[in-house]
Amino acid sequence: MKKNLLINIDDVSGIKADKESHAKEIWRRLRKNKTAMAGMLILGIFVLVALFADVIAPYETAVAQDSSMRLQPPSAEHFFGTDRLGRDVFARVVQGARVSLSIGLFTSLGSLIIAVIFGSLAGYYGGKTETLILRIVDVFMCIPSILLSLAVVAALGPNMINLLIAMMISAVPGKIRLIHSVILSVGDQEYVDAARVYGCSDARIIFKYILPNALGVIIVDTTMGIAGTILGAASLSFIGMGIQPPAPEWGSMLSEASEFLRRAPYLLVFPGVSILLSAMSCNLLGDGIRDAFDPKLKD
Amino acid sequence: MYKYVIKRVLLTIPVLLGVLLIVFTIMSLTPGEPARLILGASADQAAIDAFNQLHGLDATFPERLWNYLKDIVTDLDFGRSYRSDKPVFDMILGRFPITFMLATLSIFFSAVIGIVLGVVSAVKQYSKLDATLTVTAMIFASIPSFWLGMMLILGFSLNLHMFPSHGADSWQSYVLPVLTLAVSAAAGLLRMTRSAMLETIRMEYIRTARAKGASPRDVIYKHALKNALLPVVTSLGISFGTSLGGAVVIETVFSIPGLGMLIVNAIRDKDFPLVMASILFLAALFCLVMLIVDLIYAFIDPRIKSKYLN
Amino acid sequence: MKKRFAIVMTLIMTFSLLAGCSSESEQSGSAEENKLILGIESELTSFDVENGDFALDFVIRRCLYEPLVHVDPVSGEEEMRLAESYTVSDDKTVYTFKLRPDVKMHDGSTLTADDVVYSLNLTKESSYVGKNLSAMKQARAVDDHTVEVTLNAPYAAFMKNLSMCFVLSAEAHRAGTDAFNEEPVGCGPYKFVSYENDNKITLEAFDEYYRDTAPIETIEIRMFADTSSLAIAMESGELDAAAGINPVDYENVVSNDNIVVDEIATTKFCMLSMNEETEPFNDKKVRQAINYAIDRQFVLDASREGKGNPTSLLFNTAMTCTEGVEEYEYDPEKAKQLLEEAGISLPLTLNTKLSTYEGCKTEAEAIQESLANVGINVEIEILESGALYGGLASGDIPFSLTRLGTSAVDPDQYYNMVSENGFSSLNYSRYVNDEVEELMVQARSEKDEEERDTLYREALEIIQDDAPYAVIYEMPDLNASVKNLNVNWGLNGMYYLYDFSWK
Repeated sequence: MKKNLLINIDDVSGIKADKESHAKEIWRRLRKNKTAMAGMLILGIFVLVALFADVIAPYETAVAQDSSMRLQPPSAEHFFGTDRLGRDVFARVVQGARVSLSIGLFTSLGSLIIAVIFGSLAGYYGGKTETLILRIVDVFMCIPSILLSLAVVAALGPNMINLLIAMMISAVPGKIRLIHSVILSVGDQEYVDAARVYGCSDARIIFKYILPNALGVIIVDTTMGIAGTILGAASLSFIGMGIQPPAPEWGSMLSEASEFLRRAPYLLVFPGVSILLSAMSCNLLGDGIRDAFDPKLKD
Repeated sequence: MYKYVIKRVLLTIPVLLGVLLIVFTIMSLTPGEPARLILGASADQAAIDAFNQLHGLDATFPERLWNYLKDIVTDLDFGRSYRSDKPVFDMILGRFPITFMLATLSIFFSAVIGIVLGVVSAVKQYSKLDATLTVTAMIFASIPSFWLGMMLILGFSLNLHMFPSHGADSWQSYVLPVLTLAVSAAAGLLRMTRSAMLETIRMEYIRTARAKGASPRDVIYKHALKNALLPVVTSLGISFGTSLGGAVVIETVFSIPGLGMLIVNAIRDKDFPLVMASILFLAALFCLVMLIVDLIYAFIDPRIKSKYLN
Repeated sequence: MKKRFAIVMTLIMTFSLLAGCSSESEQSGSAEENKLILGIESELTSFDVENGDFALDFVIRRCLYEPLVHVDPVSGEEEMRLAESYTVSDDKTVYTFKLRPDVKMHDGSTLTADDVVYSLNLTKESSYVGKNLSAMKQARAVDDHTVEVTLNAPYAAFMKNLSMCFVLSAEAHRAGTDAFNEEPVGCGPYKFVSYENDNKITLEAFDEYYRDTAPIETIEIRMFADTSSLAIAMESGELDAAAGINPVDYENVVSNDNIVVDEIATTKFCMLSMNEETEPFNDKKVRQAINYAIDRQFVLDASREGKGNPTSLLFNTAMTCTEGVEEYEYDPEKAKQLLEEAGISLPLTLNTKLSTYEGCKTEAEAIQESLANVGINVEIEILESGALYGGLASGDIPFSLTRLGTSAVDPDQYYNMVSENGFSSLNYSRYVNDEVEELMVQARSEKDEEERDTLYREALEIIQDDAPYAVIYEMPDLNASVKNLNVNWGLNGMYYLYDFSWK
């Protein structure tokens, strides 16, 4: 009996029926957006480089030192030049892509999951739960995120895992707020009330009805979040609180380069441009996705 | 109105307590001891024990937390730095003006550049100017600030010798750091202003178009600007708060003796009193800024004002 | 209306902000003004005689304060300062100093024994410099101009250590450390004028200094947070002298015709420690193999552009007792051979990580490569200094790379690195050798210089053979100055601005 009623709700809300064509429509709009496509292309290149890093420039080549080839400018043999230990910068940038993109991806996904849990609890149940969660979020947001991450990494020790934890701790509060407000705005709709009346479990309501309608906002935020994480992780590594040597990471490569600003300025270029392009492509893509979900904003 | 202000101010206290608790916990998680770090490699166990006893580090976590709170509440004593033995608040207040100057100047210029260009971009939507500005903003929003800083040093200090690359002695030494911070923040503000303006313009246009047919552009744009300002003002407030902390990286690049560098070194040294007091200070400042932002909100938008007055 | 008001307000704010900024940076102090602008990359802990051990802390102390005696770090020659003479008891444990009656302090008062005793006690209790007076049992004022110092046991290097203890005004210090740091009072050649912005210290020559007045009238010390800015400031003419140039910037600084860069030997050195209580470092052959495996020149080139002295000797090579002691040359084949003899099958991946801190990152990476070349694979772990030193003291870190330096140029400074007594402080390798222990303790109280030398040389030869450490290099300080400045950078970072003058 219950099952029949649920099917009715789906028809009434029109979500399920429209889902497929809705998605196609969004994708069509996205494809038409040239800058977003450019962003996707660039990001795609970085992702490919990260995935096939070991084929393009195996880890060994990124850490192999050569005393006779220290601080060489870019050449045919070393596309991006060599650093103070004679290591090939191109190989290091390629391997660095894997590091940066992994951190970006895992942080975004991890913080999204946590944010969905707590944001939903706050937005859906309201009352004391909401107040408590939001208050805690407010407290975290009062601390400048760099300092928070810095304190965490300093406390736990600088390595990749702790960097991930630190970046997630900075990212989660803002995301909780976002999910919370999304649930508030979407959750007001009639079909949600209807679903509740018909006895759907809370989790089902949240995951099946509310969140999918906020998908646009969530995707955009996640994509932009990756950009923020790439920049944040690079900043922390730049200060020296990031990935351990000899593992290549763009931020720490720039930190090493800062001593050689005059002697070997080319050391600045490639890691910096990599950070810029990867962050920018995420932002472009995110912008494009937002426009694709809500075309009214554009015109 | 005053009741609202007082209520908000009182609400900051539990928030600050929360900040204190969080930072205290994080700092206490660390495996390294401040004693080792500060006394150096050759200190023997006796000296370490003496240090720990002197600073109450051998007590348990709840005990230490309680002592810390007690000192603050009874004497307004935030402790002395482990490393230099100076009262932490004096140290913070000593370094704060420079960072404050840096943050304020950056916010000011980023606001001017970002908002003005954002409006221009929105008004002249679809033009070549709009496209250029949008792309430029996108680039600068994605640029790592420390990289931008280093490039500016390379160009303007080392090659052109136009501005100093370090320190905070003269107004010239503020130019490059402020430029670095302002540009990144301006990019974000530009995009935010542009989209807020576009949304409001469209709504206003449709509404007025329905009502009258044709309407003077000035009225629409003035009205749109005022409404678009709301999210922008919030954004500015948040920007100020983050630039206080974000100045950290810039201070490192430009060797500026400000609060950011003080905190980074303190965190590395596990100089608990200094770290705690600094972060509390910044958090309190941030709450103050958000309060001001909320009040400005009320000032600008009469709908919100009436809500507060109730 | 509102908008216009807002615009006007912001314009006013901008102008007042800009106006509020301090005036333009000054030009380099010229010889005409008889002023010296010194740049240094160091933090400052305090203006006290005992609180802090940054390079700048010591520089200031040598300007504001005086020691009882001055002992030349290498020759051991003693020069009387605040003490005009002294006698030593027959059992060599009681030193009695007669103070000069004519020494004026910066606030006009006269130096008394009370100031000396107070300062010695302050120093002894300090966790930073207390080790200089570890041999002292007590100090007391016999009368206004006589101070008696009693030692725990005879200690040959006592006078050397005493020359690094400074005297401040007891009265001014008793008023409170915070107040004292606002206006420090000593009897040194310079007196305190101001400390601005946390990065600029101004000192002035003290007219009533008991010796000749300092040649340079005003000293301005500018503190830098990093060496690159220091080098750039020096190059662009903002500074007259810069202490602590980074080797990476050396080329650029030296290319300026007006600047001279001196390489000053120090006792600072970089070394690996290998905890003998852990595998595989418990086998002497492994430790020796590691010593042979490292390409010290490459490590030095990569991290310091070659500026330094690659050496494997534990004792600083400036000391005579190191003459003739055999070094470990770079020999990867010999290293592999020793490893085989030790029964190690290559390639070997170490269970322990190489722990170090940020400052030695480049060295660590180069060493990692050297070890990989002989078949030893090791991961690097960068720790905070606190965690690193804590772990080393508790014996939890078996393999580390650190930089150390000694305050005096004396072999006894290395005692704690090779003795059981140093287990919770400097003996990172947990090295114990009874013969070495005996030799070093004996040498400590040996008054005859030549005999002392022989004892320390013997000890060093045993230490080198046991190879508890793999020393990588010694590093000099690179100090820059303008051509028309007479400088005397001294040894081991001990320079007295009193000795500087304009040509």
